[in-house]
Parts: sequence; structure tokens; C-alpha cells
Amino acid sequence: MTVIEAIDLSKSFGGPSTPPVLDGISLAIEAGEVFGYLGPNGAGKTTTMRVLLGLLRPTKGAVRVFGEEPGQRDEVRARLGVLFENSGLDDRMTAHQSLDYHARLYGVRDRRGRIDELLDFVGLADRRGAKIGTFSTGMKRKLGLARAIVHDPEILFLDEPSAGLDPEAQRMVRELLQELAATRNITVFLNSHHLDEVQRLCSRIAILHRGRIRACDSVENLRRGAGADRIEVRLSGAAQAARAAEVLMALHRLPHVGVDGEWVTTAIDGMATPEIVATLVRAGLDIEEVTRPVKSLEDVYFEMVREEGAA
Amino acid sequence: MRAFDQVLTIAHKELREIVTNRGLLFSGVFFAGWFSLMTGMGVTGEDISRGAELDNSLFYMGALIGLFVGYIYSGQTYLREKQTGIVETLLCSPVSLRSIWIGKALGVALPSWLLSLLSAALIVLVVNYRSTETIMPGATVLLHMLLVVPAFIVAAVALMGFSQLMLGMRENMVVNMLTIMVLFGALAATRVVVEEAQLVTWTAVTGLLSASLGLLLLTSLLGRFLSRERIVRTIS
Repeated sequence: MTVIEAIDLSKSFGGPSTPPVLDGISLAIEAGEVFGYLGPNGAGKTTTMRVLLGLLRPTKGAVRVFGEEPGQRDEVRARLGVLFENSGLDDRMTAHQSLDYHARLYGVRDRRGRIDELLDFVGLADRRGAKIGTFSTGMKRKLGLARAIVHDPEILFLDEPSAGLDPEAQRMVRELLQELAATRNITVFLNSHHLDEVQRLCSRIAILHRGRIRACDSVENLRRGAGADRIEVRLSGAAQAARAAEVLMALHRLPHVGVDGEWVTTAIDGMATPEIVATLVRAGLDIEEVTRPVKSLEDVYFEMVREEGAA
Repeated sequence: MRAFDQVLTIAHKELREIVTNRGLLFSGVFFAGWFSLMTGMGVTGEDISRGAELDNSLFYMGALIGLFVGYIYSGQTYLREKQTGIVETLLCSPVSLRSIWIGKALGVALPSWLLSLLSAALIVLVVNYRSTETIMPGATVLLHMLLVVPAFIVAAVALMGFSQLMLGMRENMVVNMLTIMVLFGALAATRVVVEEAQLVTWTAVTGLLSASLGLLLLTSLLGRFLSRERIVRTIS
């Protein structure tokens, strides 16, 4: 079931001459999915999230959350949880007061039990009476996460949950999110520019750059897709590899051939892999291994961002 | 019923923050105490005319001190939450914009009114301390303090909250400066006003009550221009 949908969504903050912050965004996120929304600073990630939360209205296109326009009904907002980059916590409250306040606003029953459970979950049970102003950024983020799920939301929106945290705190927040995604049937919309975090947590991602979605697929498909036009062949030695490169270049159809030790890399340009392998075998070469290179998400991301920048 | 509970929850939170924030509480108490002390000391007429002067002082200062304290506290309630971005999280909750706004206004107005009552009591004490006869405020002033002043403070705080939520940070700075100039101007004009005889009449009290209710109505109508988008877009 699709729970979040954006159809040709555009958002502008100025007049017609101002370029839109979001330009023709289309998304469909299924229930239970952990969806990563990747992009550099200023790409429009937070604006997208604000539109999906009903805080901003689209200039063009439509947005549906649970099939309804977000921000119109309190009942829809009650099913959403949100953690902004600033954690949304009041420094002058204690951890318990903050959770209790939000639990009351959302009409949570058995507040005491729920708050105890959440403070335990985020590892802040012993700081329940401490003022939030005394917390580190990491602790605030963890408490913010507890606050965001105090009412057991069906969709959780997270905006850069590990931004500004040291590596240890980043790991802790990531583990909490992993546990949350694994143990509760919750849909997560994760805004981030942390590639590692997105790769570890998300089942599907969209890459946003300058207000437009450049790619939207599973991490595996994106990584494979980026290397789908090349293969790597390992031969029994460097001399064999050099000979293989000559054979492949002689085919003319494969102009992009590279040699690195006993490895030969070639763009396949529409040829089938068995056809290339057969050509090499016919040339009397000893093939040890044939692989299709899988790029890291980082490579895919930077390629897309660079391509867009060049365009 | 749910909306009412949410308004009370927000009001309770704001009230608790004001009461537990020593610096904020002290600044309100200090200004209220200072102005009432100065006002009480300023009632210098003959005993026979002191009653009228006292009534005038309470009528004028009761509302003004409440307004001044409300101004100090509302900055900490509306504007601070906007500056820190806390309000954005609140806007995502299943609470209507009106409930958020009213809840905060009530949370600010209650301590402001209580301090205004304490100021009135202090003015009465100071005037009596310096007088040979016991001078007590009249019924019109008591009604004014118990009914008109809270309505006036709620309306004024809601209006200040509206402007703080609606406007950007730069515009808010300008509005704040203008507000503080007007407030100090009004406080400085105390002497001229309180020396006027028979300022406090049933007509004056009813007039101010009507003005306060009118202000509440105006604020309520202005609320239609407030939107989540407007608040979010003026956060930074």
C-alpha cells in the first residue's frame, strides 16, 4: 500500500523568475519501507519533507499521505512522527517532561509506561529528570527520536538524524534507527547526505539534486545499474591481459578498454558478456574470472551529482 | 474536548516554563515591583483625594504592568520557539494552529495577570503605609482588576503572539522596539494620568472591557491569516 505519494511536485518561494526549489518530484513510498532521500545541502530535501508534512503547500503538483492532502486534518498528523535536525526539544524541560508534553498532545494512553519504555529504548532512563539543556547533541537527537515515536506513528520523517554528531553518536543513532525499522512496522522517510547511513538503513533511495530527482531505486539496483555497461575480466597474467585488451580493441565495437595488471576492464556497449568471453577464449586466452563491477553508492551518488552539475 | 485538553497542555507547559525559569520570572517580578513601588510613592495628594488617585493608579497601572510583563513573557514563548525551530515540530502535531496560539497566550497571560494583581496589592500597601487613613480601592477598580485586566492581557498577548508568529525575525525586531517604546512612553505618562480626578468610572471600565473584547475579536479574525506555511517560512 502506498502511504506517501508525490505527483509532479514543484515548490517555489519567489516569483516566476525564481528557479523552483523542487521541480517535478514524483515519488511513491510503500508502507513499511525505509526510504532514503539523498542529496547535497540545498538540494531541497527539507523542503520536500515540509511539503510531505503539510507545513508547506506545493506550488504545482500534488502530495498524498495516507491518500489525503497532508496538513489538512489532525487525524492524519497524528499518524506521523517527525524529527527535524534541531531535534525540536525545549532545553528548559526535562527529558520526562518533554516526552510527557508530546504524549499529552497526541493523546497517548498509559503515558508513564510509554515514556519509561522509550527512555529505556534510547538509553536515557537514568537522565529522565535532567534538563535537556544539559544534554549533548547526541543525547538530544536520541531523545528527539523518542519524542518522535512517543505516539507510535505509522510514518516517521527524519531530517538529517546524524548531522552534527560525532562518529560514536552517529553509530548509536543509526543502531536505534535500525532497531526501530526492524522491530516496528514503521515507514521511514530519511533525509540525509550521509551515504553510509542511507546504504545501511534504506531499502530504496532517491537521489535529489537541485530540486530534481536524479535516480530512484533500491541501493542494489542503483549500484548495479551504474556498472551495468562494463565487465572486468581477470586473466592468468599481465601479458595475457595486455593481449586480451588488443583482442577486444580489435573488435572496434569495444573502444573503452583498460588494463590493470592481470585485469582488463571493458565497456560492453550492447554486446552480451558470453560473446566477449567466447571471443577471448577463441583467441587462446586463459580466463580466471569474469565480474560485473558493482560501484559503491558513493560512486553512484557523485557521478549523478557531477553529471547534473556539468549539465 | 480534545482541543480544550491540548490548549490546557500547552498553557500548562508555558506556565511551568515561566515559573521555573528564575531569570524570566525575576525580570517580570522586578519590573512589576519597581513600577508599582514608584506608582505607590507617587500618590501624594491629600488623603481625601488619594482615594481617587489610588483608583486611577490601579486602573491604569494594573493593565499596563500586565501588558508589560506579558510582553516580556510572550517573547520567550512565541519568539524563542520560533527562533530555535521548536515550533516547527509542534506544527506537525495533531494540534490546530488556533489551539497552539491560544494555549501559549493563556500560559503567558495567567502569570502576567497574577503579577498585575500583586502589583496592585503593592500599590495599595505603599499608599496606605504613607497615609494616615486606610485607603481601599473602589468596587469599579476591583471589577476592573478581576475582569477587564485579564481580558485585556489575554487579547494583547494573543496579538503579540500573532505578530511574532506571523512576522520574520527582522520585522519582529522592529515591532519589539516599537512596542517597548510605546510601553515605556505609557508608563512614563503615569503621573499625568493618575492625577486626573475621577478617571475610574463604570463607563471607563465598561469601555475598556468592550475594547478588550473587541481586541480579542480582532485577534481572532487575524488568526485567519496565520498558516503553518507562513510560520515555517518566517522561521529563519
